[in-house]
Amino acid sequence: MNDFLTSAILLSPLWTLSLLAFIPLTAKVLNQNKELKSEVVLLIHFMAFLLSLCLTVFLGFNNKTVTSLQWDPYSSGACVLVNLSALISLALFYGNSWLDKKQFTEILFFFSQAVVALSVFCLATDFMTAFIGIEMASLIVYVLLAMSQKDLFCLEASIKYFVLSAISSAVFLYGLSFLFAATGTLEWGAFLDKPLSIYNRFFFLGLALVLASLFFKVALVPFHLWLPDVYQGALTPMTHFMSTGIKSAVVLFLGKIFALPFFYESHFTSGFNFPISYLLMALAVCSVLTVLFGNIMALKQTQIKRLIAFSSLAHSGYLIMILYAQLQGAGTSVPVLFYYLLSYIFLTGGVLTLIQSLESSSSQITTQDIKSLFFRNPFLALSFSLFLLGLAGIPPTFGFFAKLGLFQVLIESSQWWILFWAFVGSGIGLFYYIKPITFLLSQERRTETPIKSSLLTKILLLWLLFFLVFGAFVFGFYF
Amino acid sequence: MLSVLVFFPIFFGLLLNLSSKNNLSSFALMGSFIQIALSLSLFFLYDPSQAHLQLVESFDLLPFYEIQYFLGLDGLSFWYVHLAAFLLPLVILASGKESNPWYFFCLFALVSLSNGAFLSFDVFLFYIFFELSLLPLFFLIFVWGGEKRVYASFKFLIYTFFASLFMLGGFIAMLILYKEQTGEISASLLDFYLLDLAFVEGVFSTQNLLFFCFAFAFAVKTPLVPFHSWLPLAHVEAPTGASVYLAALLLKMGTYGWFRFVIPLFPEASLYYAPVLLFLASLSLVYASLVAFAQNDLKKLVAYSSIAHMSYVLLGLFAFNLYGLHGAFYQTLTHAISSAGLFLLVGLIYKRSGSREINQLRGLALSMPLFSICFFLITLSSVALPSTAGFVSEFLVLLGSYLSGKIWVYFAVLGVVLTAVYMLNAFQKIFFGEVNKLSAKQKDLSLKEAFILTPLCVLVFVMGLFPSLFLNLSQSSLKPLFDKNYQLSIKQEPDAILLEKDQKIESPQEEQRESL
Repeated sequence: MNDFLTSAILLSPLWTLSLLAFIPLTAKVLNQNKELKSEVVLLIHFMAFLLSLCLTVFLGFNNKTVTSLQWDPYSSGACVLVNLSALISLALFYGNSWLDKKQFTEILFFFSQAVVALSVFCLATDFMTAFIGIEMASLIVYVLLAMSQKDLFCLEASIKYFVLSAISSAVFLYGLSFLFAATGTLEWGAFLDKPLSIYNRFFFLGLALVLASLFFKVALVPFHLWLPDVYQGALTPMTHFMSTGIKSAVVLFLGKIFALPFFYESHFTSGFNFPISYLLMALAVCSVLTVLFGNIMALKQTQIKRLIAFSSLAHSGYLIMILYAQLQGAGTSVPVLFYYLLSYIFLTGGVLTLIQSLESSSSQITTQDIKSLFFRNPFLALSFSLFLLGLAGIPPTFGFFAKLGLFQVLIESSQWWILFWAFVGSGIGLFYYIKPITFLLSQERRTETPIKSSLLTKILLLWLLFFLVFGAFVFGFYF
Repeated sequence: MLSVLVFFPIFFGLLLNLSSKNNLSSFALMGSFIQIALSLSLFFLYDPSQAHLQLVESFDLLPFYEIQYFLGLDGLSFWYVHLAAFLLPLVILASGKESNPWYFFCLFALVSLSNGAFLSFDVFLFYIFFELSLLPLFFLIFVWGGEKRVYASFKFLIYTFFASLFMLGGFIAMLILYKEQTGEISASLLDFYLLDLAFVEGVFSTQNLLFFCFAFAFAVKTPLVPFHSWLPLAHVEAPTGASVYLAALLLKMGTYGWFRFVIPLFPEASLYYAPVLLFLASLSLVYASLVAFAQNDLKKLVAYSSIAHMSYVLLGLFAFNLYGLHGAFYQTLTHAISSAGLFLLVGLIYKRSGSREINQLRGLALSMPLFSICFFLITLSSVALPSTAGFVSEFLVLLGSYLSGKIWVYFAVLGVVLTAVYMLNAFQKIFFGEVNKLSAKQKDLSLKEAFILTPLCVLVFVMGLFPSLFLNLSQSSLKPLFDKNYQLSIKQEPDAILLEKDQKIESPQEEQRESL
């Protein structure tokens, strides 16, 4: 009984969120399937997320384990990031004009369960639990992508993501089977007790397959083909959740795997480290290609959301570069990784909030639609340009300090070539982030009707702008 | 005080949005005069006899990266603060149809950010100001520029941003080196001066690689010839005010980088690679002069002459003697005055006639006598005629580089001749010869325009006849630049200063005793 109670307390962030999300749904079912007031639903979910966030922060410093979920600062930090990203998505769900308002309760319910599943993924201590977490989250994401049928792009996105993601999950499982065959366990802690003879070719094959599947979720370059279409087609809150929430969970999970000792040569006394060096090289090549590909492809985009998708690709590349520096022995890479993800969540959140507030007229925003925004709604235009400058890494925004961290860890681990390509990527990036700003300034559609923005958008934007400007200092004191 | 100098203009620029359209420029003028008054107050606060930093303000800004808010003033940065403030009213008065609260905001922001870059002694703070100063200029060119403004502004932005990323890399590397060497973390430039950077002849040693990073960043900004192609384009497309500030301040940030970072941080590497840089500087002097001679667009001609004049700075600096050093520093100031004057003049002529083509303008001297006199005076300074500002600096630079004994420096003398050729050739074509229709219509300077140009014309002669007025105030910071213990002289503790003062007080008494 006592055991049950402690584990119930330790798992409280998960079940509170999951159960609280049931309240609006039950109310709707009892109310003869009539939709509740969306403000009420939003408020309940908002409180549930806040509660779960507070509990996560509170429990995070415990270092306790429940079955195969473990609380430690790193994992709970990952949960906090997922929750933060989900909170922004929640506000975006409310403001989205393309959402079927009759299904608002169901959508938020599914969304909360996806966050719970991702939290399980973040807290896992073995591959199987992690797989269950990520798979559950992906299943819900398929549903959420398909539920909103704003246009054909949306359907395309959901089918594409479903098919490809299912295959990647199969690859993950296939890899797990090899790992299990080689070691007889899937727990990370248990790997350490095994003799060095477990590191045979099966082990590395399994590891490579698992990594490939995870790279698919972050969309590194050979595995990126789904990303632009899915991001473009999805509802804006889903784009935000996929590009920040899922991405930060998976990147931090990769960081957790890379912290395992068999990635470091010092672990192998018998000199059996040669496949690991291949894996490292693959990681370096993938990250550089992702940065270059994302940045170069973004240059020619006219759809703003597609542009953000490619920029998100480039940012995944930078994140993997930080992980690579970690593998090469940069000591400060973990705080830098969190710092970068935080900045990325807030900046992408800002840009996507702006895209959504412009989306009321057409479902696909192009550069034509944002022309002369400075004259039609100065507040939106100014914050849009600030967020874009932040993503480009112009000082003194949060984005700059995140980039600074990236450069710092690369220099610390003396990865000069990767540093060079990160410079090149940032240089190219400047071009396509500044280009939309020049459209905002154009005189062409100056006299057209001013664009209105809702109160929630304004509050959200002000809040995100606060983090854009002061985030570096706020979180700089925390780390 | 320094914080006020840095942040007053940008806040005032924001306030401009509140003023009504009619009295916008008078409101802006008021702000610029306040800024001038503020910077003039430095004459009372700054003690030119000391080499160490003065009026220091510092507190922790971001402990995660050890970024400090650290402002200080010394002889190197002293004049640039005045320069930024001095040009502001001239540019505001010269702005015509583009006057708009945001246009003035960009100009005020430029002053703020360049002051920030010249005064900050934390490397990351410097980098932030250095990079951020690109944005107002980018928007000035992009929104109020000429026909090819999109291409020009993007080229300017990408070129300079990419180059200074290497400087950022250098800063981070030095941060990590400092941590390895002393065990403490600091991003203060004064601490970096104390770094022991391994130097080996050749290419691959710590100091050489860092030197390359910084040299590349500042060579693009200065600009030196292989990296110069953004400048003429940006100048030609920019509105007059932006051109003036680009030439007078933004380029000076590049040369300031050589003075402040490259020479004191990497003394051995600078000495080792000095021949290369002298060669590049001579090359860009001769090349830019030749290209300027071939131009038909007057503004492009002035832009190329700007490149030629900036290469004098490097010639003087890398001669590694005090003549060259003083000449180089003085050249940054005289070039700011003469190029600002030339750009203002070209702007005036373009506003009147709608043309900057040397072929189309003929015989302006008859219809615009006052204008041609002003143009002539500033041209003389650009050509470096004795008793004008340009003469002093270029003479010192040539003397210094001659003493350095490199053969290709003799080519630099050719540059002086070529400058005279292209400037006087253009002057002759525009102002003399047969009067054509376009030129005959033009009116002479109005009172307002005369008011813009008079201070510049006066300064040309003041700077030419009394260079010591300017150099004396910077001398104590310039002199120790090549010393081995430069870092100590700039970082002098207050106690040490007090001691020195005591000694000074004692010494006259001793003399008195002796005489008694």
